[in-house]
Amino acid sequence: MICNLDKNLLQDLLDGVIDPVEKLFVEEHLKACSECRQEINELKLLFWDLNDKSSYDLELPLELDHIKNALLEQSLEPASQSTFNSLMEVQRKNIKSARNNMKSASKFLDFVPGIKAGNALAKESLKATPSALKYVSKSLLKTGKLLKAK
Amino acid sequence: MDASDATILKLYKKDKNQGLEILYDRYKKYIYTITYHYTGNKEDALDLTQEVFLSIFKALDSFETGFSMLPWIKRITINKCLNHLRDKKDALSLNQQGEDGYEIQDLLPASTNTEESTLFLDTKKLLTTAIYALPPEERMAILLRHMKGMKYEEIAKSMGVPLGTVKTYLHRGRKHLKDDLSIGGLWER
Repeated sequence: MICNLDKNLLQDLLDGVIDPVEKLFVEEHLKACSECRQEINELKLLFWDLNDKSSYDLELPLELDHIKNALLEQSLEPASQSTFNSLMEVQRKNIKSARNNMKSASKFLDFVPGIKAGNALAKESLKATPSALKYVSKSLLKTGKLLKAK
Repeated sequence: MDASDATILKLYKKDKNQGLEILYDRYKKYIYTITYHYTGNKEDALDLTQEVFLSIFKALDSFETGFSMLPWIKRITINKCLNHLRDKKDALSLNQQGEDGYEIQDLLPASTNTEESTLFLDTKKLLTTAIYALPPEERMAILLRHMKGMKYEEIAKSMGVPLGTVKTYLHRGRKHLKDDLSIGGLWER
């Protein structure tokens, strides 16, 4: 006789997750079906081994302590990060003050006649230039214009 | 919330070094046991344990004090394991050595040396090898259910899959294991 019972039900029965009605049905079926009895006996052995906690016992290797020390060192020394951040901060301040200095240093150029047309041209060409470079090149251009005028 | 988790977090706020150290000692066994039985070897298990703790340490500042740490730690561990095996899918070699110096090819059941291998290897090793031979998701579901005794709903949540999928992984995984262990000669038919 070929048995058509869903064998997963046998697993669910052993794992305690079977529906109560199905449980009654499977238990009745087992009385009559030797194939399923054989199957459930093998599954019982498997469940026994799988649920036996000693199957998973293991010794913790010494390397776990090395990993701990390395991780602690790494986590408690955010030096690279903070150094990077503070360097960035200093750089940002430097660039800002340099820009201000340049602005005031070239302020007098605003009052030189004929410089406005040159400025418009410079602005056009400098649109794609990064801001820090922009101020440097801008004042250079201004100076160039001034010399030419002389 | 687990009292000692709260204590660890309090301690961490006061003294980072001590907080992290206690957290590591408290969860290292839990994490290493999963990573070891999942990867089947010490080196990968250690790598993964390190990755898991690195993620935990990084995110600990933003961890909300009202929650228990274990479910969060489980999720990180499971994700790291599943991703790790995805990355290393093709890297398994039959000559790769396990912790005891056995090569994987020695552990594979063969009809000619069934008796010999049964005498040579005990149940524990055969089971570990059979679990390691499972597809990653089935392996993880089996370990969480039988090794860690987690409920189906909890496994579904931790693995980020529907409950029905967990059942399928478990059914298939156990069937594979049963077939492997029967062929391996562990049980008399």
